[in-house]
Amino acid sequence: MLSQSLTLVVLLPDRLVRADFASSRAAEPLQFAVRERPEIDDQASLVEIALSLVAKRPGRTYVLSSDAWTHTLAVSLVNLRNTSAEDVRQMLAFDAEPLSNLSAFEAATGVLTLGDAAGMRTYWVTQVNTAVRDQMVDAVLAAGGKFAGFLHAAGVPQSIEVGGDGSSSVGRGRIEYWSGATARIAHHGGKITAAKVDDSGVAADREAAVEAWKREATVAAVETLEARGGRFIEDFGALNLADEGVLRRWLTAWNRTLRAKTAEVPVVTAPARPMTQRQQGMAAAVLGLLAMGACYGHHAWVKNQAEAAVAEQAEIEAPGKEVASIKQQTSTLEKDLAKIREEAAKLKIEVTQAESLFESHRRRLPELLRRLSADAGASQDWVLQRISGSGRELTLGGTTMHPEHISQLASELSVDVESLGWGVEPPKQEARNLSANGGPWAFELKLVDRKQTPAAPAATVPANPIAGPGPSRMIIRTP
Amino acid sequence: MGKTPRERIIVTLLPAILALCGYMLFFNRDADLKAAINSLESARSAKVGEETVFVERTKLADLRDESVEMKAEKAKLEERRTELAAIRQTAPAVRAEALRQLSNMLWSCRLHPYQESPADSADSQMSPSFDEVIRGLSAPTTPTTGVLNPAPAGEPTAGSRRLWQIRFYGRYGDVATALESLRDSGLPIIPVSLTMAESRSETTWRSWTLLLWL
Repeated sequence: MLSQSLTLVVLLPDRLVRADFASSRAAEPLQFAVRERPEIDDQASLVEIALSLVAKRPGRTYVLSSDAWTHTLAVSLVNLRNTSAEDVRQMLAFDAEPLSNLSAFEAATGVLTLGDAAGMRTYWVTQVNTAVRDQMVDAVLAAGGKFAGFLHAAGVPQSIEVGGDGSSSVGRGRIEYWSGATARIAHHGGKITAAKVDDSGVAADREAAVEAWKREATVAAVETLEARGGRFIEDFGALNLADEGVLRRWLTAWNRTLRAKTAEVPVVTAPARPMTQRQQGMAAAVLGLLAMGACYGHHAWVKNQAEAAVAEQAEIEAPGKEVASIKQQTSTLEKDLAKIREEAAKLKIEVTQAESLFESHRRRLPELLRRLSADAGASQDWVLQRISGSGRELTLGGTTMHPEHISQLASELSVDVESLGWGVEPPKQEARNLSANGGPWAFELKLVDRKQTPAAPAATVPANPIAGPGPSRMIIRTP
Repeated sequence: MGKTPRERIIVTLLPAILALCGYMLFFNRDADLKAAINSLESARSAKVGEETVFVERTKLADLRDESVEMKAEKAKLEERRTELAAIRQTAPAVRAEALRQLSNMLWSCRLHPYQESPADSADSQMSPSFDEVIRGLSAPTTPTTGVLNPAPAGEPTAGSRRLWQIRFYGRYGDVATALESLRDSGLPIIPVSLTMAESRSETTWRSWTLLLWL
């Protein structure tokens, strides 16, 4: 239901009416004006006059005219196969041409499908000259309204007598007498259930006509509406649009009918008016701007998505980059550590060798002297007479009566002084032949400096005692 | 001549169509977005877990600790090497004091020094092993930044080889005692060689020559 203002412009045979309704539920028109119809045939001018009856701008405007041609026509269903609504409209326009005297090419046609019976489909057709319709459209637009449609004033599918169908559960009917048409309609729930519109004129026996339509349309009650203009003597209680109360109820019924989503009467609509160049330019500009806006929106969306993806990727790759950085640091640190280990090992060897050497040099001379003194004191077999040499070697020279003892001493010394960095060479002994056994013997014992290593092997030059006549004692006097 | 409805529709839509075509041809970045999404998917599939980061961090921390320990150990060794190298770095005043103490030590052991002088032909007097160690200590230590390198580089010269000889009279036992005292004294003096001259008379006194490095 539309709440927009609806304006009805009615061209009756003897009057012009304008009624404005605020809503579909309005029981009375908001604006209502009536005047006598001037002696003008131009319907567009009549519309202008009717619209000018109220100063307020019209809303959606329907023009209801008693001058329009309207009729029900039947078409064989066979001819309707594979036809569109527009095809049917054209077909009906041609069929109506001999009756309406309007060329099919000049007629604007409104069509309402009624129903099928006996292989025929019945249509309710309303026609008006296209030029007249366009003039009326212009008149409405000029008044500031919006042309909604043109239709014959006959056939509103609402009960006028009881003020609409209300809650009635039965169908009702009406016979309307117009100056150029007689309309018999049956309606129920705001919809046409049967209609017969022709130019048969007023029945001689109106009551018989009512009974006949009641039977034909199967309705509970049929009302009669006199709309030929003026008040006829023979009305016999029929509704007459000359009565303002009836006119208002009739207009209210049309308000309700025309506000429905689908009109239940044949309406001639306004033609699709092509846009002006300016309108077309505006539409093109608007569409272009919309397209550019859509492009900009898409571009921004793509950019945001790409940036979000890059940011997420950076977040995901952060641990990997950290691991790569750590591995690089680890690799560098491992190389540095290996170098430090190597340098430390070299230093350790140097330090150990130096400590060992210095310690052995501090120890070896006093220990050698003590060792020789101990041996000489114990055996008394030899005498040390001189010590010569240098840091490279020491030569112990002396005299003995038992050369085998010197050999044994050399052997023992080679073991004892090994840790002090000396190697002992085999002793050189020479007999002096002053006694019967060839003695005494002069001897020389060399202690050669040898390179010390922390894990040095045993003495490389073990003493080789000279074979002698056996153990003997010799007086050795240490200096 | 008026345009047909189709022409009117096309003309109306033309700017929008041109805008869309221009955008699609020149400004559309769908390919970039697809590439970014593909790259993101690849990154997701190759994502490194937190446990891996933890393991690598731990490994690096362990290595750092080990490096610190090794540097400390190396520093100790270098310090010790510096101490050892200081034997050949002794200042003249220290050497003079050491000789004075040695002389006192000899006298206290009933020895009688009668000549003290630098030794000639130092090369022939030195033991090879001693010479090698001295040369090693004189070589530069590893060129590590921040580590004191007290040893001068280069071949030791005759002047730098401080061989000193002391001649004295004394008895065998006293000499042994004096050498033991020298061993235990901690003086920066290293005995290199000792000679004892042969006596022509029946006496326990001999002439001794002690070769020293100081």
